[in-house]
Amino acid sequence: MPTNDNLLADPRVWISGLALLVSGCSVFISWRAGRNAARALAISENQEKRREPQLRIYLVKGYRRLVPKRQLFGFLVSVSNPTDINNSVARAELQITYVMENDESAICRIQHNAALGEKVGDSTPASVLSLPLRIDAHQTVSGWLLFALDNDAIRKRTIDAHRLILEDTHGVSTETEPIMVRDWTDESKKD
Amino acid sequence: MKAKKTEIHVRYVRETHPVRIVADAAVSTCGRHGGRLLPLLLLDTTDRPDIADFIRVHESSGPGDVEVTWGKVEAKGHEGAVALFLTFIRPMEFFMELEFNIVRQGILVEQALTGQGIYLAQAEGDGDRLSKNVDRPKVLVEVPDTGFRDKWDDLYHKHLAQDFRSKGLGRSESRQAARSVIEELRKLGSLRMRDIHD
Repeated sequence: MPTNDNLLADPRVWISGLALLVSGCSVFISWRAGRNAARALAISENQEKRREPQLRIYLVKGYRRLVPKRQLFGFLVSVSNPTDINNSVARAELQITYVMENDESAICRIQHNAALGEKVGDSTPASVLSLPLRIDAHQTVSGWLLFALDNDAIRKRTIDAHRLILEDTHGVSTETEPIMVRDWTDESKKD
Repeated sequence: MKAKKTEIHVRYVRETHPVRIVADAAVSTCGRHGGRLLPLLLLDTTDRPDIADFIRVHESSGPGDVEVTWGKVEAKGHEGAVALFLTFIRPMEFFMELEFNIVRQGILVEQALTGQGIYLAQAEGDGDRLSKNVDRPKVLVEVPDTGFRDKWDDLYHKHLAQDFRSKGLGRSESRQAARSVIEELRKLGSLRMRDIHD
């Protein structure tokens, strides 16, 4: 049996030690390669996720104005496209939840009507969004969405909630949380 | 197409029950939906004020969107019936199930599939008929071919034959009678109001 002094002189020992070192290195290298591959996969998944169509709506303010035979709604919004692909808003709708006589709710949808901008008759110029609306990658557009709800539609029912729904080119819908709207009156016309 | 089981999620309890059909008729209008003969259903909206609203709102709002699915409810009390599931999106959001007894109301399904559409109107009471108010508001729902036709052909023939057999006809006679009835119905259903040109 070899003593401690000539242990390293025995080729069987240092060859085994060398083999252990090499296998340790290969374990480390493969661990590092695995980690790099996982990182690369995460990066490519994130990139792919950024290519999924998505729009974000930020509501600046919302008003309601009562006019004869209908209610007009105006929402100043900014619409962002945080993804890496160009997109368009194909449809903008106001979803109105109202309460019927039996205290049950019903939901109707009305379409954005850019032509209402001319009929509102405000002195302040408003940039009304016109659909379809192109929003390139990483861009934001801002403007008014206008809706008219005929009194005949829901009659004298109480409106419970309003939501804006945008549908993009890919048919993906984005909706806001329920919106509080303020009644808008032209005080300059009083007296 | 192979049938598959699916769960339908509804928003309100009122949407879980089929809407009662008070009466039916067939309407063919020149220049509308190719002049095809389409079934018209008068619906009991007593428990469904949303449907009454929808029919009224639709008059002024123009075309809307609806998802159409034919199927069958897998529950007790729904045997011998097929159902039309309508998920309306615009101008109102709601769900509606119309159930048709295959033997008694099969002609309505047959005609909806042939004409690819169905008219919905509100019944003005229990004994209402279309003839009492022909000009009432009605909504045309397009019913595209969703692959249900083949399944329906088998179902309709089978149920009609069973019905004839229960009324005393022999096995082959009842099959023959069912085939004849379906053929006659299809002849009648292919009626179409042609466009009038100057």
